[in-house]
Formats: sequence, structure tokens, C-alpha cells
Amino acid sequence: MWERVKRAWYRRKLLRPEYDGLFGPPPPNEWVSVDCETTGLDRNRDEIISIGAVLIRNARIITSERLELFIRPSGRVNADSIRIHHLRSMDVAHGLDPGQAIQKFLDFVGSRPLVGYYLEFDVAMLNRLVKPFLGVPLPQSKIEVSGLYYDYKFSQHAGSNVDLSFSHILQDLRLPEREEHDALNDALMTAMMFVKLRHLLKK
Amino acid sequence: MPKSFNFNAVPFDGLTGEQQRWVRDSVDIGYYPEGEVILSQGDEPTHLFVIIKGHVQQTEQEEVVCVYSKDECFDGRGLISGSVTGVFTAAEELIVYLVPKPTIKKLIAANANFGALLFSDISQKMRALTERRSQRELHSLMLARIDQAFVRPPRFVPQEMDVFSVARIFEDEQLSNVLVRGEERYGIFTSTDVRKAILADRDPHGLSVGQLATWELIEVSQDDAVFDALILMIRHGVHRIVVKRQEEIVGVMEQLDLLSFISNHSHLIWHQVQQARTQDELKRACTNIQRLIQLLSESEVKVSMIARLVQELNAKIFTRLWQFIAPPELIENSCMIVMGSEGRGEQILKTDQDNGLILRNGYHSPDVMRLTAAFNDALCDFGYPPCLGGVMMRNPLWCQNLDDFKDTIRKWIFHPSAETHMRLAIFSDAVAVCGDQALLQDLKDFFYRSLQDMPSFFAHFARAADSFSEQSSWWSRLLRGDGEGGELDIKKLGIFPIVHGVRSLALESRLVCISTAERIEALAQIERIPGDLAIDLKESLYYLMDIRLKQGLHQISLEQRPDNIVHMASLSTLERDLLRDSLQVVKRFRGVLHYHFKLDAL
Repeated sequence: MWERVKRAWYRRKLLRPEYDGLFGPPPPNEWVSVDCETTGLDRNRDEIISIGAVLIRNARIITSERLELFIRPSGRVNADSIRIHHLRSMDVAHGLDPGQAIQKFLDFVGSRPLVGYYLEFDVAMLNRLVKPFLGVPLPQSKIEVSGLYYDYKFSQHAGSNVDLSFSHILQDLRLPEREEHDALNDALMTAMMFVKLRHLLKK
Repeated sequence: MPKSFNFNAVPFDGLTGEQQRWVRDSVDIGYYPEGEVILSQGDEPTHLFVIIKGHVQQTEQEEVVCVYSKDECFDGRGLISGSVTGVFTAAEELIVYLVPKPTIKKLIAANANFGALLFSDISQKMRALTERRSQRELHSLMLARIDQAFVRPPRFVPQEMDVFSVARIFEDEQLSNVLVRGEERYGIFTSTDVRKAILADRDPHGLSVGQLATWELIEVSQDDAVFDALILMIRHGVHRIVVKRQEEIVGVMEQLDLLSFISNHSHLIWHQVQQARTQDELKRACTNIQRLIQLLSESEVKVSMIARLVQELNAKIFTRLWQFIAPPELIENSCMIVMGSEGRGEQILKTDQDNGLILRNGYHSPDVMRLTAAFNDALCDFGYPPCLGGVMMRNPLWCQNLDDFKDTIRKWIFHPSAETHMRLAIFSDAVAVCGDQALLQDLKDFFYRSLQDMPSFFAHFARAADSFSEQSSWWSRLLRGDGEGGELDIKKLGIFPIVHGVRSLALESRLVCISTAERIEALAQIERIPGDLAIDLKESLYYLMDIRLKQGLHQISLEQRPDNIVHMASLSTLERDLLRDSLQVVKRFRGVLHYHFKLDAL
């Protein structure tokens, strides 16, 4: 109920009417898995340097329709982050400017629900770019895979401790893990978790 | 993950960079829980499935016909024909790549090898595989770097020079090409281009060479392998390439020089054997054979070619050794024979020695037994292990004069037992290596004649081909596709049934050829076996020999004695696939034998 009111409120505050479609009903059984790589973990000061997103349709991950964007940050990339995503300042120096990137991202996602791992962080980072552009934060519904995983584990053994780390979930679900943790690969692995968990939770 | 699509797995391993991009750009990923049907009978597939994780079972009329696992793809045939045969089910939770049909079609159109590997029956599949290998066929002989081969020094001319003067240079300096120096570029002008100059129908004194030169030079670095140079020549359809050191042109390599360089290398061991003066020198040549086999096998030379080469070299070594040991008088009055796999030319690694000596009637020499023992011992020393069944010339049973030998053979035929059948099988593959070949011919004629007196012989003889059929579990093991830890006796299950079945049919038809491949061809010619089975049998035999050789070499590298056990886990997807197909051919052939010799009635 509260969500519906909030959506209606945001819809009215939308700065760009051409994006009204973001509030429409999503195509059935379609989701977009998203992951961002950032200059660091401070959601107020750090910036997004790469966005990866793939479309999920039923139990299929439509990697042929994928989004992989590199964004030019204003400052330096944090050394700790480079170790994770292997994107150095020079690698992203020729990226898009944040405004272009966010348009491409919104066009790709449309009204589909967003799927992610620790999605809250990615959405917060994205919203710093989305809000100035649209006037409102990302309106799509959001699905947290670690939440789904927790639900699944809980349905099996109520009350046990659940390890929610990314690689543990992958291993436990017996999904292939990729070594390179770039935005697209992470979005893809998250999509696989989502597809499998959806199947497991349906049973 | 589209980035990590496995382009090392068949049939995608032969794609160009551009073709790989088509796949990466269009591929999707699918998820199927265990038990879900992926394709059913009559479906029109829209994608080719390539397994990332899990197993898929293909069933026809509730019978499992195939299991696909990691990196394997299905259903290429259904994709092209537009209709699926059988049902494909996820036998284990499945994650697959989906490559859309338009991409596959585009790949087939652009890459003939890809198409052939995708949907082909066994012999075609193997042919495609060998074709791919044949590009690397001469590899071992071409490991040499270009600067070790013959590179002609470059002869430069300025681009303004007239064609007449260039033709004069060709004639005076015995050249077939010159390099043309232009403004910041080089071109090549060859004797073939002189023809163009004449056809241009202009005064050759006024026509500059720059106008007719080819300005796109095909270049290699002098550090590249000779092999790369040949591939470049073939790919670009040229006979010459320019050799560079960093940015400087150091010479021109001609195809003719390249080919003669390669052929010179392959004769090295041959000369070594022929020129050996002592037993020790011969032994050294022998060690080199092992190295040659290793090299040839690693560079994917066809196993039939390796086998032929090894047989010839071995025969040469046996002859040379016997000449060292036996006096000329003994050699003249005897015939040294090799038998079994050595006779058929199918023994590549030294597994055992099967040899014998036929003496001329009436010839006596008190030394014979000492000399034959010396021969066998020397061979052991050379690395040919003794025959466990005692088929060696030091054994009096395998060293007799012609008439005694005939008696022995008659006894074996008319008093059949598993042992005598085995001895006859070994003998029927005998070839003469050294001495008077007429002795063996005489003995063989006698052998064939005697067989005709005993028509019931063949069926009993052939039955041995069936003796290991009880081990049927390999089939289910292969079908399960898990492979890990599984092992097969490839000789018992594959090679022996083919060799012995073919031998039985050949003896019955009194065919004189010895090698299994020749026997198969001859049997097909007289329509004793169907032509398509003949092709499959031959391909399967070679394939099984190839696997055994690779496995054997691996064992030797671990300082183990090579055996016939193949560990499934050590095979690649394609290899396992082909092994499966080959064993199926063996099964089909057994059916033919059963029917022909009425084995079920025995």
C-alpha cells in the first residue's frame, strides 16, 4: 500500500515525461540483473565506474541482450577496488559521462524489476546519478538474491545461520563461478542465482 | 560469461576471432532443473545447446542413445534438419549456452570444418578431425625456426628500374624474384610477373618494375617456426614470403626450399640405421625411434602413417641386427619372420617381440639356437620386451625347418584348442623380414591349403573375437558420461575384436594381405563386408590405435610399462565421443561376425 502511494507520488514528480514508461507494468516474467563497480565503498563520495546488466526471461539469461558500460569518474579509482574489478583509472578514462550512461541504463531496464546481490548499495549508487536526471530515484521493484537465498535456506532449516557471502551462495547452489569479477560477470552470476532460487522456491 | 565461452571445445575450436565474436554476441544462457525435457521428438530447435554444467540424456523409444556433458553440444543434426529425433532431458541440473540458429547457420557457411564437426557420422567426424590435424601434420619436422632453414638473401632493386633490366638480373643472377624498393615500402616482383609485363604489351625498357610489383608482402619473423611460414604460404596462396628481423628484411623464403628442408629431416633415422656399424650404434638408432614416435604423435600425425613408418624402421633394424649376429650362410638358408601386430604393421610402441625363423630343409647348423637366443637377447636390450607367449625364434617351436614347421601347423589346425588358435592367429600375420622369402611363402601356401580341408575351422577360430563381449558394462559407463575414474581395456574391447574378426574373414577368403586395413579393404571389395562398415571399421581401428598410442606414450613418460588400459578422465570430450562411436562400430561388426560364422549356433 505504502509502496503504491510512493510510486504514484514519484510518478508525478518525474522531471522527464518520456520516462513515464518506467512506472508502467513490467513485461511478465522479465527481470534485469544489475551490478556496478565503483571507485570505493563510500556511497556518498565514491563513484560508479562500470555498470553491468543482463536481461532474464523466464529461466533464460538473455546474455545476447546485455549492457556493459564504463563511466569516466571525476577522481582516482581506489586501489582496493582495482584489486577486485581490475579497472584502473586509465581503463575508465575513455568511458561515457555519467549522464549518457544513466540514460542507456534506464532504456535497457525499462519497467522491469531489478535483481541484484546487495542491491541496496548498487541502487544507492545509481540513484545518485538517476535523481538529478529524473527527479526521482529508480522506481522499479527490487529483488535481493541474498534475501531469496535466505528464504530458501530458512525454508529448509529454520533458525540456522546462513552464510550470505557471494561465493558461498554460488558454491552452495552449485553454480559455475567466474574468476573475473567485473560488473557484467557479477550481474550474470547473480542472474543465475536468481533463476535457480526462483526454481527452488517454487517447489 | 559470454566472454568465457569455451572456444577450445569441438566444434567451436576452429573459429576465427571474428566468428568467435558472432557467438559471443548472440549467445544466451539457459537453466533447466533435473528431469526437465529440453527438446522432444519433432521439435524444431531454435538454438544449439552447449553445456556449461550438468548432463543431458538423449533417448529414443525409452532407450538412452547418448549422454552429453560439459562442453558438448546438441542437437546439431536436429537444428539443421529442422526436427529433433528423440527426447533430450536434463539428466542432471543443467546450465547451457544457447547459440541461436542464425548464428550457427552463419558459422557453417563461413567455416566448413565447423559444419562437418557439428553434424556428421563417425567417419566424417574423424575426417574433419584429421583434416584439422593435417595442417599440423608436418609440425614435428617444422619445429625448427625459420633462420635454421634455407633463406635466400634479398636482392633489392629500385622501383624505377625498367622491367627489361630486371629480367636481365633474373637471368644473370639465377633469381626468380627481386624485392622492389619504393617510397617507404617494399614490393616483390617475380618471374611470373615478367609474364604480366609481356602481356602489358609495352616497351619493357620504358616500363618500371614498380608498376607491376606486388606491394602487399606476406611477412614472417625469422624467429617464427618453419611451420608458420608454410601455413602462411598456403593461406595466402603464395610461393614466397619475406623474412624479417625486427623491421629489417633479411631474406626471402621459397616454398620449394621449405619443402626440401622438411623432407630431408624425415630420413635421418633411416640413415642412422643403415649406417650403424655396431650393435651399440644400432641401439642408439632404436632409441631415436621412440623419440620420433613421441614427436610425430604430439604433432598429431596420423597413426596409420606412424605405424607404417615404425614398421619399416623396425624391419630395417631387425635385418641389420640379424646381419650382425648370423653368418651369411645361415641368413641365406633361412627366413626370419615377424608375426602378430609387428607383422600387420600395427605395433607402434615396443610391446613385445613376435618373431620366428624358418630353416631350409636339410640345412643344419649347430649354432642356430645360440644365434637365435643372441638375437632375442639383443632385441630385449634394444627395448623390445620378450613375448610372454614365447613367440620368439629362441623357442624351438618357432625355429624349425620348413617340413617340421608344416607338421606343427597341421597339428595346430587339426587339434584345435584356444592355444593353437592363438598361435595360428599370430602366424597368419607373418611377414618375411630377412633371408629367403620363398620359405615363408611355401609355408603359407601349405597353411591356406590345409585350412580348406577343415571348413569348420573358421567359425571356431573367429569365436575368439567374441571372447571379451561379456564385459558389457563399458557401454553403460560410457553412456553415463561421467568418465572420471572409469577405465577400459581398449585392446580387449576394441582393437582385438576388429583385428581378429577381420583376420578370420580374410583367412576364410584366402586373402594374402596382412595389415588389418588392407584386409578390410579387400573384404569390402569382394563384398564380404558392406562398404560403409569397412570404412567405419578402418577409421575406428585407427582411432583406437591412436588412443592407445597416446596413452602408452603418457605411461612411458611416467616410466610405466604401456598397457592397454584407457582412463576415461584423461580423454577430451571429442575423444570420448569418438571412442563411444568406435566401440559402437565394433558392436556392429560383432553382429556381422555372429551372423556370418553362425557363432550363436556353436
